[in-house]
Amino acid sequence: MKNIRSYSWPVIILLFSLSTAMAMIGELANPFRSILLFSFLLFCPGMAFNHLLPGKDQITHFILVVVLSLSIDTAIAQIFLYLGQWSPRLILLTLVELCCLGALLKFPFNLVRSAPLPSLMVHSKNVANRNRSYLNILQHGWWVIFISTLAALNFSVVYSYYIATPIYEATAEFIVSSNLQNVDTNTKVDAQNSPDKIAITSTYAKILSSSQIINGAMEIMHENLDNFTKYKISVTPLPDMNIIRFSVNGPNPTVAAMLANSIGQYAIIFINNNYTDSHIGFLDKAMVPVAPSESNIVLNSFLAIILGLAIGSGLVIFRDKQRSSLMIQVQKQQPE
Amino acid sequence: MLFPISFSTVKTKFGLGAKTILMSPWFYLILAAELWGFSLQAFNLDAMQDWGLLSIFPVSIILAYLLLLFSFASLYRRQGEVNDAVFVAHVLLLVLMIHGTPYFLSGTVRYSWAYKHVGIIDYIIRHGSVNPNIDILSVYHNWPGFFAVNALFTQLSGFDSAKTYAGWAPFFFESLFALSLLALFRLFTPDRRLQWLGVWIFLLTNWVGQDYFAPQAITYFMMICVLVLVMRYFGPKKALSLNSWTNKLLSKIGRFFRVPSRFVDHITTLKLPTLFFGPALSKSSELALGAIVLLVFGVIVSVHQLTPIMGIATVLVLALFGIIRWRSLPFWLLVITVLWLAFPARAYNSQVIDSTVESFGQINDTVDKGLVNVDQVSPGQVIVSWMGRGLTASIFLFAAFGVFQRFRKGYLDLPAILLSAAPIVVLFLNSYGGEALFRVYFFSLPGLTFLAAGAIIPRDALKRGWLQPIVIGVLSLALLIAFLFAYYGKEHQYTFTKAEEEAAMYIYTHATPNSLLVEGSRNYPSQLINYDYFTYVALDREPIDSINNLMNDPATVLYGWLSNTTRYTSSYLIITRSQKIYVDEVGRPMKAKSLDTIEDNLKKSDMFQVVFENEDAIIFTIRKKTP
Repeated sequence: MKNIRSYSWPVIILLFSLSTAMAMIGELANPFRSILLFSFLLFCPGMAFNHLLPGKDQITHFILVVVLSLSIDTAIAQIFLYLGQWSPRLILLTLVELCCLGALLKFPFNLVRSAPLPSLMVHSKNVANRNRSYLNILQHGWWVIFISTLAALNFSVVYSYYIATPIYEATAEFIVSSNLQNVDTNTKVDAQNSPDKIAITSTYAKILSSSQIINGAMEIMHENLDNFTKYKISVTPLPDMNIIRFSVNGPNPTVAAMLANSIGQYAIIFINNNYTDSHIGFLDKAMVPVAPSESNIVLNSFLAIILGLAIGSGLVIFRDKQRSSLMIQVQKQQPE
Repeated sequence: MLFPISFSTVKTKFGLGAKTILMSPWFYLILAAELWGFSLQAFNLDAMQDWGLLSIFPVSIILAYLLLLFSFASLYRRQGEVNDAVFVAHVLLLVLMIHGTPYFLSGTVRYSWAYKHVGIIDYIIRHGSVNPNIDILSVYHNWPGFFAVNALFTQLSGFDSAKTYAGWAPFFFESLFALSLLALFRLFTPDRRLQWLGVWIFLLTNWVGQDYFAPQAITYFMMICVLVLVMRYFGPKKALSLNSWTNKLLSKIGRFFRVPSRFVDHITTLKLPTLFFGPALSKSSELALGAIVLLVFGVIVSVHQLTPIMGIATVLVLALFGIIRWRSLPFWLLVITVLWLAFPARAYNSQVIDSTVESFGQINDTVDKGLVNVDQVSPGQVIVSWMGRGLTASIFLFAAFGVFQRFRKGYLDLPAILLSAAPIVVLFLNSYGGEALFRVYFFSLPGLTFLAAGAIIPRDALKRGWLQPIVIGVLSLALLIAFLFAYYGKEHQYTFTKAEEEAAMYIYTHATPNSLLVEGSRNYPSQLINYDYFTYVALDREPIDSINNLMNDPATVLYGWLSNTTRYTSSYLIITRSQKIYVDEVGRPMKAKSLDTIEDNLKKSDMFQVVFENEDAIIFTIRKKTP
């Protein structure tokens, strides 16, 4: 019971920190958001380090936790203020991570402090049971696995929303068709499927991503290419079709869509003026993407949970192995 | 029928007898809370007189207070130790009744300085930085900790402004004061009744109003916690005692004054508090706790100017008398303070260093600046002023009587005596804008209230009877009456209406940057947003000659001021209800009704036009001359 209680605080702190981060990300409605944030700022940083404040009186302990929390909050906020890097989200992230660190520090402290339990592997009298399923060991160490999974989930959510810049992909599609003024009716159908036509599509795709086209588009937009270093262009001719997919990836969805359409428009004019055999035009213009293509929180969280489970399970098994070797040593030292 | 269910019915339904209910402190607490809640409907703010909120107290709230006092006093009649939860509930209800009432009534933030603090938070939100060299309110830019953490909370909560929650500050801070004081008093005595009585008396005597939305409120709480930390974890390793050196000194003094030897023997055998600091600490624990003390003190230094001085003085005295064993701590606290003054707060200090040096040691001047000149204020304010002074004097007397009573029973509350005395050193340093006297009282109060509680409960042993509860009840009532006068006495000036807030928001969001804002007085929700854009002139702060000149022909003089288009992009004059109340009641140097006269004059003048008006405020600007 005492063991459960000593593990429960790190879990509560981790859960609280995670909930606060999620509430800020999801812009939870007030008053719930402010109440949650207020409670976090008032208690969590202090609770994460409350093992440094020995004593049994609850009211004294409560008040010291509050003063420690407020001091940490104020100190961190001021550091960002004086560094000229004022960002409430970044400050909250720092506090959340500090709380997680404190909660995780509590965890090994508790392990060290508690007397080593007899290993489940060694304690077994029956030799056949020595190789029994690891499931039983994992079952006994479920707290460790739970905490490690929570910690991993927390880091993943924080990384996805606060650190990783979301990347948006805007895609325009172009269709390449024969210029009807230059070919006769009989050859038109064949020409669409001819190897030459596929080669033309590939050529146009190459032109779309060429420096000449991009620089020309920039000139028309009165923009400098250096302003778009974070944006990447990719061109893919779709197999067995006369369609080219043109994508722009970058941190700003509107800018990505604007670049895709502007460069595409410039390329259309350039190609149609210089290559009279085939005509190229928009099939679909790029729309402003609403969701990021990268930094997928669901995927990241799923991976984090798997990683957390694996690390937690590893820790539990490692702990059991250590106990096992300890018990063997003790048994060896005992007189026959 | 008031009680439709008879007590016998209650017993059958819930298994509780009438006596059990009547004897339960929770019954009186709930009743007091309900009465208080009900009485909030019965206030009429418009009828408030110049002696404050007490002038409109309905009977129901008086009954609620009486019930609460009776309930608290009756706890001292009970057999055995009373649960902490019961005391906590009493204390929190008292805090809510005293400090929640003004906010529930007006729905606005109390005290004009609180709005200025909201304005600094707004500055940080807009600029993401502070400007230590700014012309207006630069002191806050040099000690920005409180504002930074509030800017963080405001932005993350999605609030438009910190005023959304600033009205709760007195309740929040007073609750923290009460609980932190309890932690402090737990170091002085194991008797819970004495600890809670000390807290109770603190709440009934802390009338100086330093609990509003301001940096000093949070640093006060933090400073008490620093004292708890150092005395709890860095207290003496063995029980405190008057050492042989002190004994010899006392014997010599006794002989010099020909004090009877029995009396000197009594002194040398006095029991000092044990300082219940808990388990012995490892070296690493001590290091960690030392770091926490320095962290909390470092934050105090970055939040408020005066509190660190009080803190250093107190810790120094405690170290000198062996109450704390970390003797070098005052030095480290001084180093942190000096470093802050030398670097982040350098800009402000370079401006005020001369005046600080000049006012050093001018204790008479400091005291004079802090006291109201009763000849200049309204009759109601005279009563309020004397009530505050009386309350202050009585707590000092009670504390002295407490020391004497405890001394007779063989106790010497040395830490509490030192805590009461140490802050006095600030009176020699600076007048602090006339507030030093109040701050000294505020910082001495924890020690004083514990000593005063000792006057009623002089010994640790439990003693049951009716005398103690009756004394506590009567004393609480007397303190409460004086407190309500002193604390609520300026409520007429401190309470702002929503209409005034609306007018203030209008002028601060509509005036173009680099405008001139002329104010009747500073007492209104001023500078709460975009405060750095404007230049301010408060009419009541003008020199007496200037005021006389203004009152002779307000329209012409103000037109001259407001029409300076070379320096300002536009100019406005704002007059509000609370500005008028302030000028009428404080009366220095402007005469009562001056702002009404100015308003009437400007309304009639064709040189001015009204740009905003509601029931409590009016904003003028000059009428552009037609070519």
